[in-house]
Amino acid sequence: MSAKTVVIGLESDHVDVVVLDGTEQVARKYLSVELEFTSTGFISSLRAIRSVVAETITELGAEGLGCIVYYRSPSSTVELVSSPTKNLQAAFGAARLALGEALSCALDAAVFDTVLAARDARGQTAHVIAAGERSEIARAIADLVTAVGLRPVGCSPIDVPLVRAVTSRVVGSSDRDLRGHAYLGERCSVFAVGHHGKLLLFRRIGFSLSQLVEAAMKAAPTGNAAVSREQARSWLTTFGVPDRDDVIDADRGLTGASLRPLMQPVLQRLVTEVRQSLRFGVPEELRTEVELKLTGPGSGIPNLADLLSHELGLAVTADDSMTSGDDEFSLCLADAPQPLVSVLPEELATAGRNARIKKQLWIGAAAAGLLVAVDALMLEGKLSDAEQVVARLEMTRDQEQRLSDSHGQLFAAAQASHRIENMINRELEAQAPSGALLKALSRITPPDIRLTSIEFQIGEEGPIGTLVGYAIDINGRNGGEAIRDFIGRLQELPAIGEASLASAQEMDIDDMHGRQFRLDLKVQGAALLLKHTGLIGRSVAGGSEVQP
Amino acid sequence: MNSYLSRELLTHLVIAIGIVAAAHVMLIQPQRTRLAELERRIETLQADVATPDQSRQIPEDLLVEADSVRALANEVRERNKVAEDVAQLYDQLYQLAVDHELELGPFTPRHLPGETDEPDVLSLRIIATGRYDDVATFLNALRDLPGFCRTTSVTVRPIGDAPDALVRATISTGFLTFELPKSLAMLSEDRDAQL
Repeated sequence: MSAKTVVIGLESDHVDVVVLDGTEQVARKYLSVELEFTSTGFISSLRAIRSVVAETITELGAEGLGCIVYYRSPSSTVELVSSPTKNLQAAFGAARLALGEALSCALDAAVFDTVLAARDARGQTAHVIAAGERSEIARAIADLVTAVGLRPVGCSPIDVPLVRAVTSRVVGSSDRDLRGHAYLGERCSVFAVGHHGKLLLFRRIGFSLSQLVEAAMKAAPTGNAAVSREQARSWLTTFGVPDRDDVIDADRGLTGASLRPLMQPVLQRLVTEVRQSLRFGVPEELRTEVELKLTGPGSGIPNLADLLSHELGLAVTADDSMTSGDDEFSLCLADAPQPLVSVLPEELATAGRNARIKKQLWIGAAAAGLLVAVDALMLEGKLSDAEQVVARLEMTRDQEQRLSDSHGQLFAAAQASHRIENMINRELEAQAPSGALLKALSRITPPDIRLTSIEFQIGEEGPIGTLVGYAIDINGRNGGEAIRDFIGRLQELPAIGEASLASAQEMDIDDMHGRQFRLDLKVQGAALLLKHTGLIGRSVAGGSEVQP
Repeated sequence: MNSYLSRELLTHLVIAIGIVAAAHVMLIQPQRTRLAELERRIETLQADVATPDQSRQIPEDLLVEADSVRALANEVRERNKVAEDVAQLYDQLYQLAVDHELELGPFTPRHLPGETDEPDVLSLRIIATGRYDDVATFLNALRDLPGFCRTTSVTVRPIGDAPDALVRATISTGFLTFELPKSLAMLSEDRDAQL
């Protein structure tokens, strides 16, 4: 978006076209044209200069830029209205009423605007500038701007910045008891006096540098060439208010004695207006204490301050702090691109205001969008952090869950292993003796005993056995003794818990005598087969006592 | 004209507010909702994680027993296979008889399904004929078979009256199958289980 603005200064004898980039001048063009200074003639003049101005705008490459016009017209009215109130709206209302009286037309037929110029040091009085213009002239100025390819942004009488500058100099905080300020401009002058920060008087005075220049231009003796404006201005800059003996132009034979009478009416008017203003605006006891400062282009005229001091009996000094070498348009440029007041036609002013509001609206919307985006980014960061926390916590929870499951699984497996181990041991414990017992029987069975049946089985109380056979009487030992001896041997076997004679009876076999017998055996239980886990008899957390 | 401009301004205002509101609704609102959900989830998870739970600490001795438990399960599974493959069991028995110079009669198998907390039993009645000592060592060898072998009765009778006569042994034996509890079966199958 371009920050460039075109500022046009309309004076009766020239047009200034300035291109600003922000507040910096990037191009300037001075057009020497004549504007008729009557209401109807002014409008015609504006139409007449359109082509010249348009060419200049094209030359400066400023087409389409916003334009502010500072102008001087026959019908523009600028009033400084002081209202003893802190209510700004009331002060503006009073300013509009005063403007209505000052305008050359009805307020309805005019375009006007108001702005606060300054407040007194104690803030009790508001000094408001009210500027007004006839509607048709305001329209003509807007039409000129539009016709030359620019966009009307503002339109202000050229005196407004000057009035505000002088007013703000003499009011407000001040350590000076009494201060006067006279701006001697190129085409208009104002005079103001302030006392302890209060505005005592403000008025326009009928003096301008142009008047002095034009007076000096009449100084050409008969037969000599006419004095140009530049020449006359040069004399004023060099000699100011000359002494009678000063040689102003040797070629023309021009001396101070011939020039001074021409300047005298203009200077006299200045002195008179300042004196009368002081008389009516400043209390008598203070009148001689006013310290008067001169600013503006007129303040650079040599000897003018001394002349005024001599005539008024006051301390008068030239103050070059306020663009003393520049004209009123320069003060306007200092205020551009935001004019203090604008007397554009209502529809244009509304359009401009709406455009500004629209621009600010979209800037605000963009800022809000940016905030939303920043907020979204910050939330995204928070979301990311929160998701990481959730993921971490879920991982921890899952680990704990797996740990818990593993614990339960292991505990269940341990209990199950114990149960199955017990079951295996229980099932395998109750079984018939192994071959070792058969071998042991074979080893301890004496020759006089013959076993016809060896039987082992699982009884209700564990393994039991039955031995059936007979004992033969041999070598002087009868079968009964052999049986008793055999029972004794059986009982010595670790695997035999108990051996008892169930039955016995005499018998003869072939030619031998003996006893047939039946022995009942109780066999010791088998050893545990499995011993894998050590959980037997241990108390396991969360579970019941596991018994073997 | 003023009315037109006012309407235009109002339109721009509504559009601008609409765009910002839409951006807010589309970008911010879902994120805030999601953030609130996550914060509630975090609170819940923190409460869950912070709850004291004794199961988080597995007793050291229980961990030590894990290998023993797994070994038991594996051994039971391996030994069960003997009774599950009957043909191979018969081969083993006949081979055992040959090794002990015994002559085996035909087997009389019977399958006895176990009730709760009881094993399935493949019951066999074996009649072996041979020398007494061989029968004795055969009985020991039966026990040494890799399965769960339970001999419930043994009857040995000599064939003839000679002191060194052959004997006939009638052996009632069973080959047991123990069903592994689920928890134990899982543990033995998953050797990489996190304990």
